[in-house]
Amino acid sequence: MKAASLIAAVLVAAACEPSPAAHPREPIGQGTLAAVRTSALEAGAAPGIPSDDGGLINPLANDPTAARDGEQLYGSMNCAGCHGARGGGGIGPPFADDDWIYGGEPGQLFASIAQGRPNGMPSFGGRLPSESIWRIVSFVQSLTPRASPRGVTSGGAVGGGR
Amino acid sequence: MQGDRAFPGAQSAFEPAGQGAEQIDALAFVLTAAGAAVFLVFCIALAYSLTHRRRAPGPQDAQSDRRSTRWIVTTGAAMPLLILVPLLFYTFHALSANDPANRDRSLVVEVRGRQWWWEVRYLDEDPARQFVTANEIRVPVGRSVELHLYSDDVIHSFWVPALQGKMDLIPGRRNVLWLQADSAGIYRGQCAEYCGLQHARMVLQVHAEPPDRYEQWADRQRRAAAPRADSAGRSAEAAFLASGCILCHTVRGTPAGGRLGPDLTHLASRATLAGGILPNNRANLLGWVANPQALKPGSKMPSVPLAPDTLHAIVHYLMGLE
Repeated sequence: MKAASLIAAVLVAAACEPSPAAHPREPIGQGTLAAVRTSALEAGAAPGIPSDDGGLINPLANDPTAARDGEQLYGSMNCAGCHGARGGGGIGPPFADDDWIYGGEPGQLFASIAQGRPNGMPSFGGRLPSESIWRIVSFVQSLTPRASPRGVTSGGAVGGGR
Repeated sequence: MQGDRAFPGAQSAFEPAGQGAEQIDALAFVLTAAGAAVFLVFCIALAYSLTHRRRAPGPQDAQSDRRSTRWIVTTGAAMPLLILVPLLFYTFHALSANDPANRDRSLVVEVRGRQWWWEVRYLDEDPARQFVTANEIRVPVGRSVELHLYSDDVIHSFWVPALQGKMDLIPGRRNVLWLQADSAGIYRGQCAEYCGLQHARMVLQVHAEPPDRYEQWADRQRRAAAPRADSAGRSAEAAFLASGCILCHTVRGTPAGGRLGPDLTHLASRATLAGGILPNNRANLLGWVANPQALKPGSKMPSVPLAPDTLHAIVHYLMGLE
């Protein structure tokens, strides 16, 4: 008799539906998924990002310390995690060459960092102040094989300052 | 992929927002409840039969056995008839309510499934009032919309769970489905029949809006693209028209008249890109135009190497196609 009541209880429990309060129904994209804290770093996600990149000028172009500060930010924001320690590439494209998907001009670099790009480049426009992004831009430009990167004395602040 | 999870749009058949989905939801609940009830009775009977003690069989048991057998056969024939036949009639009634012939047929939208996006064409008696868009169907709230479903390549299936059941898009055949959204909102749908490499990324959205906002949207969609007034816009337009984009895409109002890819005349007015999988913003559009194969490998849009300045000019033009 004990076995019977146990079997009956299990079968009845299996047939019952859970109460609505236990599983509140929410449409996909709100509620359940929103409760999981995911990063809002997708391309284009940040507010206050430039809508265009045409003609943006680096305000720190003539600041010799910009690239050094940019190097620190490059480490602290873990750009190296995808782009490599000296911009050698990896998951993300390298900077140490002249091949740019979205352009290597300072304004275009700023836009790529601030807006993000699909397929993995987060949008830093809402995470970093513009000045910090310009410092990273200065550093990235110092990594390229251009003859004289704008605003950084070649072989000076970046290489010798460590 | 990173774009998929950040989407608005209810996509649950258990959260109906339209009459079609409500009928299906009610039918599903009734059938499940009836099945659960039958299962419960069966479990009780099984438990009883497993535990009922039987005494040793004696001479008077032959007659009671015959009675039991008669009882089992009669009940076993009658019970399914009494339960299943009413359910059958109820099912037919619920499904017949989905017959498009009984609905308002004044707003007709043609949907063509293409690998792997949705071409949407709003029909009108006046051909000048017809317009084409992609991956996004806007409907007025509370009005029945008739969809004519076609396919040009393989079998797809149209499914917006919050609004209606599925209907296949079969090459060489027209299928008809009606939709009615009873509350404003964005309802997500996707292709429900395996159709190739990017079947999983063939998404569409149905936007239900108040009727006056819908009419404003439709009027804007009917207009051709306006020529650019500023010099940056004009050079962007020149870059676009000089590119290979025009071989596959149409922008009404310009010489671009390609028919292979989606109509781009009002690209910037859409919520999504690339078959509904990416939010429509400059960053995603840059990445899509630069290398579509990196985002949707196997899609019919080729990855064409573009110089960065050309890429930015083309995307600047596309972002202005409101």
